[in-house]
Amino acid sequence: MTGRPRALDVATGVAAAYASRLLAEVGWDVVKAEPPDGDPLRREASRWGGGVGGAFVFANVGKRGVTVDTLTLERLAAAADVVIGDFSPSGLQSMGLPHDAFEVLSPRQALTSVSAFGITGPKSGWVATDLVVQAASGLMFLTGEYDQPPMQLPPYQGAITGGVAAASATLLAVRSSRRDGKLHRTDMSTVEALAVHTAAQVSEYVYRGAVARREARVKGGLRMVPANDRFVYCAPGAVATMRMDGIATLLDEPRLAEARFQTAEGRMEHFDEFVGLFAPPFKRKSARQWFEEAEALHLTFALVQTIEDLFHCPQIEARQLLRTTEAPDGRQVRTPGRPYRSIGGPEPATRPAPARPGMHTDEVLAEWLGEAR
Amino acid sequence: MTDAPLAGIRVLAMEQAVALPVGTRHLADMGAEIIRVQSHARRAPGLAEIDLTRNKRQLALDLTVPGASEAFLAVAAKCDVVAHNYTPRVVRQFGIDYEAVRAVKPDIIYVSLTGFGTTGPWGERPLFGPGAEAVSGHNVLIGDADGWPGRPGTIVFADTTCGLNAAFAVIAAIDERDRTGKGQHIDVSLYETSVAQLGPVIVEAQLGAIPARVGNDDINFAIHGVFTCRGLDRHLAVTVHHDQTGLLTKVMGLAGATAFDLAEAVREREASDVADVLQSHGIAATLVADAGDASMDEHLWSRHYFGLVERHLGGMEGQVYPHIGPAWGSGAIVPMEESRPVGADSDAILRDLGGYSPDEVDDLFARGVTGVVQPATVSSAPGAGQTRIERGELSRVDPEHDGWRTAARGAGMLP
Repeated sequence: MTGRPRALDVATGVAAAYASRLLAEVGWDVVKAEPPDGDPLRREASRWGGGVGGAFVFANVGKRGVTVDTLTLERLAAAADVVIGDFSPSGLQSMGLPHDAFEVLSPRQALTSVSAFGITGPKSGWVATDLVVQAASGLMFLTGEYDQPPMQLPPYQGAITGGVAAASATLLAVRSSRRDGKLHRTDMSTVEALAVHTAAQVSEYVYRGAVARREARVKGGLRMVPANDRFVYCAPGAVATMRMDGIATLLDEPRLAEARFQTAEGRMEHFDEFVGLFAPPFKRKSARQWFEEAEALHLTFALVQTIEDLFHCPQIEARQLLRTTEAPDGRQVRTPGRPYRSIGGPEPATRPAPARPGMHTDEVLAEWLGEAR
Repeated sequence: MTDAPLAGIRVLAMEQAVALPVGTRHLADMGAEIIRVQSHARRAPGLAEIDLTRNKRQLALDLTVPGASEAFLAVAAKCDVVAHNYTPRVVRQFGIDYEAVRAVKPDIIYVSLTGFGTTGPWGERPLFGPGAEAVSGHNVLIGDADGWPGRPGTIVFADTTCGLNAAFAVIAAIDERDRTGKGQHIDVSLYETSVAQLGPVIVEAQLGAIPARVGNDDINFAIHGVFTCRGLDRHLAVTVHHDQTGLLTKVMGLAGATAFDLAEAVREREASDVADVLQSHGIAATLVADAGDASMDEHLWSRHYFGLVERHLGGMEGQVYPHIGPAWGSGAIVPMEESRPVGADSDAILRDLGGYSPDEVDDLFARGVTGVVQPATVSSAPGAGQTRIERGELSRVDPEHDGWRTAARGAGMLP
């Protein structure tokens, strides 16, 4: 008996798994139940090919793994404080759960479903991939260049965003349950979690009828320019607040300090001339050099880092954001830990994702159900 | 609403921009009392801030004026959570850092929301959301293979992501405090929460994947992409598994099961109609929704995703507008309330929580420690719509844009 609150993760895929991983990151005892042949996510390759199982390794840090029959699963659920899974028709099918599992499973405090469209409403029977979630959320319409079709975000953005929201919803349900002693069921949708990003655009429409689209001229030097090795993100925040006197000093191009370039309106009006003066000087130095020199002039620049760059980032290193874990084949890999630091809070999770489905079945049955086998 | 999950939790949030205001709005939607602190020396808030400031009380403090930091700490002593999104240097200067607040409230949950985190070589650097998207690795993964890096839609992706993570951190910390009696200092950043969003990619990259820009491709599918349909900027997103290609050709009457065949077949069709057909056969597809589509989506309305705000400020007497909800999957827990003018609750908060007498509060007003800002008039005109369309900022401007009312009625939210 550990005394820690218990969560049973019956999910396949990333969203619900990440939700229960976050509970592990704040000190919960989390058990992942998988079908006998394992969560299909173990076998999933990346968008680009290769990287098989990477998402599984990330989303299941901090959990023990069990494989059990449906009856035992119900008993584990009853011994848990919360159960998290995907209780949509397609989610139930991939977990091998009965169609009425959302009603039948009865953990002590909270039962959370996290699925693409949710389990009520006219689209509750719809199937989805992360591309479809991104598209349905309204966020994809705004992503990409204005003269091209909408572009996908990086992989699993709907799932991870939905996972953070579902973890929060689960803890809130637990809080409510402590108050009234009842089981609280929550029906999360990753589409809705991602749609929160578009609040401002929806307001712009319902108040004014204006439909925002993908942003114009991202390429053109207003936000991003190529340095001699990679890109610099040089106009963060509102373009209107860019300090052109500082930019003129930094780039040694006094004409950029002239009156016609001082406002966003002016830069748009004289766009070609502006870009002609602004972009070429960046070719003189590396992105990192511009990043450091901009800092000295109090200009807020950012590097356009690659995934490889993250492994060598001094800030990530200093704060130990990437922690070493183990892939099922025993390889040491680094994965983002708890997405924030907490001084005085619980220790973050360290246990690697279960290497094999069901590898902790015996010890979990003993601890949770008091069964010696 | 005493039965809301966070009823009885009070949060003092010295917040600006987007990330922290989004986080505290989530907490407000679950019943927490949010006291937003901002300076009355700043301009009056406009439309964009309504989304961020609804359901919050308003305390104005100009922390550059002597006496303001003391007032902040006096109120903080009566709060469960204190949060800010300023650099570590600024909160130290104002005397409201973690140590100062903990001295007046030992079990405080204190949130520092910063660009890169409060420590490390980049810890004092400012960073905005769009920069965080770039530096965390999102931009290099968005766009065509032969194009430049793109960026996540909206300019607030990293902000909204960070706010959501901050809300989780606070909820978890409240749970922890209730069990152990201890507070904590949460150090959450735009950079790190955006990096965490790429967790699967980061691990995949170490297991043999080579992350890159690949447009809308995904090698695991027979078809995975976005297809242009009839109308202005209308698109269909479709993913077809390898074992579904026969089904696809049959359902759509295609000559072959390639992306090219599908593109030809849908070019003159309505994206939402095609999505309905494909979904009825178990093929994942959807219209690529824009903001107008979202506002009228019967599915979202039926799930009480939107709430209604009755507006009174800024020349909008009694008008009702939908606003995006908390996305916790339970519909609106507390009724949505209009945002209040900066400083609107200063007097009540300083007396009831700060412990100041009415005379002392008058003095704080007189010395400019606190104040009130009248709200700006909110225009319902799109503002140079044609120019913004030509620049590519807007897709279109709909003269009639209250189609959401029909969906709201269908969901029983309007008579």
